[in-house]
Amino acid sequence: MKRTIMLKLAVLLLAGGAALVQAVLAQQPTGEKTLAATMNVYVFPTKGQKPEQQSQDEAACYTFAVQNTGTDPFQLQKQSQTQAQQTAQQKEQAKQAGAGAGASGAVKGAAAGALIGEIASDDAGKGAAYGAAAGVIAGRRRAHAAQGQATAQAEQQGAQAQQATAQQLDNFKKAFSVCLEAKNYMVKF
Amino acid sequence: MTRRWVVAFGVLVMTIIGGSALRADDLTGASRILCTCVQATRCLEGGDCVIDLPWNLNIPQFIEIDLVSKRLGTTPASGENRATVADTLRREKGKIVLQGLENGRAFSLFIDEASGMLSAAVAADGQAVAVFGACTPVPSK
Repeated sequence: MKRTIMLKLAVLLLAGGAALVQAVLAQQPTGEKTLAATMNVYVFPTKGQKPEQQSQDEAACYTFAVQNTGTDPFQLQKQSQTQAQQTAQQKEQAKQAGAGAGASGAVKGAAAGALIGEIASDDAGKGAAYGAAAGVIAGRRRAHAAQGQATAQAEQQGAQAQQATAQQLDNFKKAFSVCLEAKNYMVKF
Repeated sequence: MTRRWVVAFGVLVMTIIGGSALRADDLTGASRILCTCVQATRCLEGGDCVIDLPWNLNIPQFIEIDLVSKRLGTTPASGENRATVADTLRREKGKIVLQGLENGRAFSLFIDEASGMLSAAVAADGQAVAVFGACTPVPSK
């Protein structure tokens, strides 16, 4: 009699343990990133919604946010990459343009030839104000300054584009969160 | 006793520093020298003078001088390819003096052989430029 009771208890314990393990596994992340997670938005189902339901709700809210903000984060990411490439290209172009100007300065110098005769030369306008002397080195300095200006401009444009992208993404996350909160999820980003 | 040692040590240090400074850029016997222009002053006939960086007045940053051929030129690395030949070169009593004329500009360079210090003047119609710098021997190739 005692043996039968012991066996029943063992079976019950095993069944309970298996159910517990299943429940824990069901709560564990599957390893696949949810839509929200890819955007670094953290979502918790406050009404015990199942992962499938959460996935559907996230998709619905994604569409809602795209329609309401006019921003698609995945498109934004592509745009951001393109912008970064453009900035790099512009900087490279500015660098090459500066190098070209230096070369033309050198050619000008080769043509001029005079060492002393060029010193403080302001033949373009004799008696002109001080600083009128234009030389090869001055030309090279101007080219370097222009190159620096172009590079700074490219960097500034890149930074502005990045800032705009970040703002658009922020707006999208707000709309996405509002939608999910309405569907009984706790959201943080 | 300690004070004497401090004074003696100070004198020794000053002697070493002063001695090396005097020996620095000694051009004695050099046939080729490299000069760098550090400061320039441009004066117009009205009396207005302005101190400026040499390259703002189109003075080369470095000038190579061949004391045998009397040739003054820019360095190959500058990419400028500017040169002129002085009319006269005198080297006596530890002083090197070069003088010449190019494109209506007369020039005089005065270099102290012992210190390598350079003083130069360029005179043209209605203006003059004074240049100061330093020279160092160029090792023979």
